[in-house]
Amino acid sequence: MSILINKDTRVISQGITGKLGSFATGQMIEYGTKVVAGVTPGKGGTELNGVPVYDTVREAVKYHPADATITFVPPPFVKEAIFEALEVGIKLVVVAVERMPVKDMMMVHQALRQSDTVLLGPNSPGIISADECSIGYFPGHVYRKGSVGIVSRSGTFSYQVADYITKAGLGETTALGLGGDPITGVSFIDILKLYEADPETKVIVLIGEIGRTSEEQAAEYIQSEVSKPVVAIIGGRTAPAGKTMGHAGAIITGGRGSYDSKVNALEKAGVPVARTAKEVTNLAKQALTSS
Amino acid sequence: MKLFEFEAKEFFKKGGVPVPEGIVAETPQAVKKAYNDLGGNVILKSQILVGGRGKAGGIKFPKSEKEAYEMADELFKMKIKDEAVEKILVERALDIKQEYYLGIITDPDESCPLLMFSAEGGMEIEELSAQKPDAIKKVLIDPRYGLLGYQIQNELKEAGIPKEFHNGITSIARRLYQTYWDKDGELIEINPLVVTADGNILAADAKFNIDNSGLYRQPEMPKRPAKTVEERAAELTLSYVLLDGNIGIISNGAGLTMSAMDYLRQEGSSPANFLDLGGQATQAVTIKNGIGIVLENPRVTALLIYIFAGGPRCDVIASGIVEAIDEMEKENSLHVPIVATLHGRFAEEGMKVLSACKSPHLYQEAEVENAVRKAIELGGKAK
Repeated sequence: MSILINKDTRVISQGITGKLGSFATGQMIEYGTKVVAGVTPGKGGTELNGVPVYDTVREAVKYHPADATITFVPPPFVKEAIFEALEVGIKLVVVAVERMPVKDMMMVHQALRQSDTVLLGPNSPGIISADECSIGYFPGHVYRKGSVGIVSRSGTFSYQVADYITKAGLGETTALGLGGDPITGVSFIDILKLYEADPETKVIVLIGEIGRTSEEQAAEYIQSEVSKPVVAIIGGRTAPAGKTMGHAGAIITGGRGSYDSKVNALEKAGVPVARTAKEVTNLAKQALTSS
Repeated sequence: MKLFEFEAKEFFKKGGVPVPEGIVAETPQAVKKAYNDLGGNVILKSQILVGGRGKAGGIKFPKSEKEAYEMADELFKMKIKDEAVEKILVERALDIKQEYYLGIITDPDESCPLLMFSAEGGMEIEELSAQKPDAIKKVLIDPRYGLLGYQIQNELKEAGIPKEFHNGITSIARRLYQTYWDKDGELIEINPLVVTADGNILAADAKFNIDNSGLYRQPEMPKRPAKTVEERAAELTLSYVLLDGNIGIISNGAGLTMSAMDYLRQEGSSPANFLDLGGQATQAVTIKNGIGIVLENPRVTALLIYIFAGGPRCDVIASGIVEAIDEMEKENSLHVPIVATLHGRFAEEGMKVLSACKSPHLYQEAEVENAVRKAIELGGKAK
């Protein structure tokens, strides 16, 4: 088992004919992901990597019902690409591109509130269910089927954490990135809920970073609603306030979003916080043996 | 992107938010002329992007034409928090009766615009929210409908604002929101929003920051040449932040780069910078550019390169590192040790590429912890 995606998940690639889209889609297919169709306005009727391309999402799903979509379209067109996917009721939308105008994302967010679609991103590395399906940029060779569920605000840092977890023999159910932009789709809480309900996931790894208050909110939720062990790591312990650290969302402003505030909230909720990527694995092992 | 006060006020004017009459001047002579053109009774406001201008002496109140010239001369020679004063806004002084706060920010936790109003203007909003959180009235705005008049009217009542100002402030708030929204704002702020003795309501100060991701569709926004190393790095698609330690860092992905910083601190050292190549950096030239930027900093005594390749390949990145080193060796411009640790796709191939490089400046480690220790051992503690 896994969350959100598995070996049967049918995926559409929006912006498949672009440089980024064709490269990443190729990698996804190589991993075994069922990419059923691609969409690029104006390129309908062609084929890429053996995947049929359509002009619109509606047309694509008419011939190839889909469960998920990933969009690689450039920032000015992302808003419409998301609305297009929402309109046909696709349940999982991954937005890989970064720097989507925040104003556009605020409009999307209002629509998401009235929908049960899960949106990861913008600036998300995607989602992977080990040995089954990968949507996005995850380096497939790092992940092996196991018992750890990973939810992260970062990309490469979560790969590093997963690498240690896999090498220690634990393996993963699913790993996903919420996205590094200032406003993103689903929250830690939405994903914690899914891992809590997934019988294969025995321990949850939460990878946060400075900025926003999503980790604090997650801590509150964990305390009251999550029975499975959760371990965490927060990036940016030594980051100065007022500076954007790579991710537009990773900035400490007006006393909000500091490392200490997040760690205090998590520890209060009984979540041990690792100092290094390697330590996460040790904490996860401890949690597994004591639970 | 941050706008200068005078730039923000141009957008305020266009959006119908009243501001005091003012003239922008770049020389003491021009300030003197502006003093006379406005008929005396003005204030001189240095135009800088950092906060705390008033406390730093960046605002002057000349009593005569001569004083206006002298004070301007002084301001133009000033540096406020490392920022030179290049322009002065000469503005008609206001007969202030009341000072309020009015601002709108993009709230990342609520994922929508947030309007804030306070009867206690003039104070920094961060300070106010720390000391008197109840003094700030907040309104969440649904961007599909925009700011609705009753939303702000209710808060004005609760804040105890005299009734005769309600309509005026409401109208300003609506226009301020529209300006924020139309221009892809991330923060727009009037502090203080002033009620004058004759009952006019104006934006005495103006702060306006634009979402960088929206700049492509805002042709009216000023184009600034890249001045700082951070800005030059951004033009090369690198996220760079200068810090005060001595070990340079290059990594890919924001989270991984922060973790490299955290490792260094853990080992008792400190990073000279944050440099994120981007999670999807695939080209050798990206890392070459990165090495160039980091080594511009004279404080750097060793460079740590920490890569975890997801999409890109370690061997491609490794060849970028080697190319950069070869070029610098030829120019005899490489004087610090470089410690690289490569992980992820094609890591072994990447390590082979590095091993083939004969530069005495290049070291590599399989484990990130060892790489961090090696960089500290070679670079020493900060001076």
